[in-house]
Amino acid sequence: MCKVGDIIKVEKYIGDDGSEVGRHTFVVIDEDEDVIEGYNFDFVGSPMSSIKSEAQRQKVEADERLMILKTNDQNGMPASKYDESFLKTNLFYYFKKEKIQYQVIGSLNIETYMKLIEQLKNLDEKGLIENVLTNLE
Amino acid sequence: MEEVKKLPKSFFTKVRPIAKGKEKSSYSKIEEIKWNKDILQGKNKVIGTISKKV
Repeated sequence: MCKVGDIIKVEKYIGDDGSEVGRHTFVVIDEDEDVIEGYNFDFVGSPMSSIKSEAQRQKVEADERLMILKTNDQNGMPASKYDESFLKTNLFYYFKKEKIQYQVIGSLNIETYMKLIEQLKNLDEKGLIENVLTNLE
Repeated sequence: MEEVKKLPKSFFTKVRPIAKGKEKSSYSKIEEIKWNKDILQGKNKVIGTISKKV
């Protein structure tokens, strides 16, 4: 089971271009079963990646669709040599649990979670969020 | 986390543009978090292989 705010690693999933992607981290942003465009889903996640250089950081910071967070400050996170990560908050990946293998590895701290909620609301108002339904098809 | 407000359900059932084929941006080249050894040696540990059919 996973709940909103959990950080999970998904072993294999289908990217938005339809090709298979290996292990990657997501933050769970919705956990209730429902239907989107005729497809059933169990939860929704936004992809998370690490920031490895100052140049990358500046690029991420300048992109309003992304959100920077302190990797090792989150609850239960495995130690990472990269102090900061970012969420692609403009991408909503919809998942069916039966179609993927995932493992909960931590959860966002409360401050980061609240920041995320505000970020999602802002992006929604600006029409910048895109859905990825490739894992439901 | 239970007492923290969540976004309404309608937020996630809303029809939005589909992100098809856009993941191959420069951002996707940034590698994922390097996993802690304990995590990698847990569920993902290889415990055997299936021999090939002759």
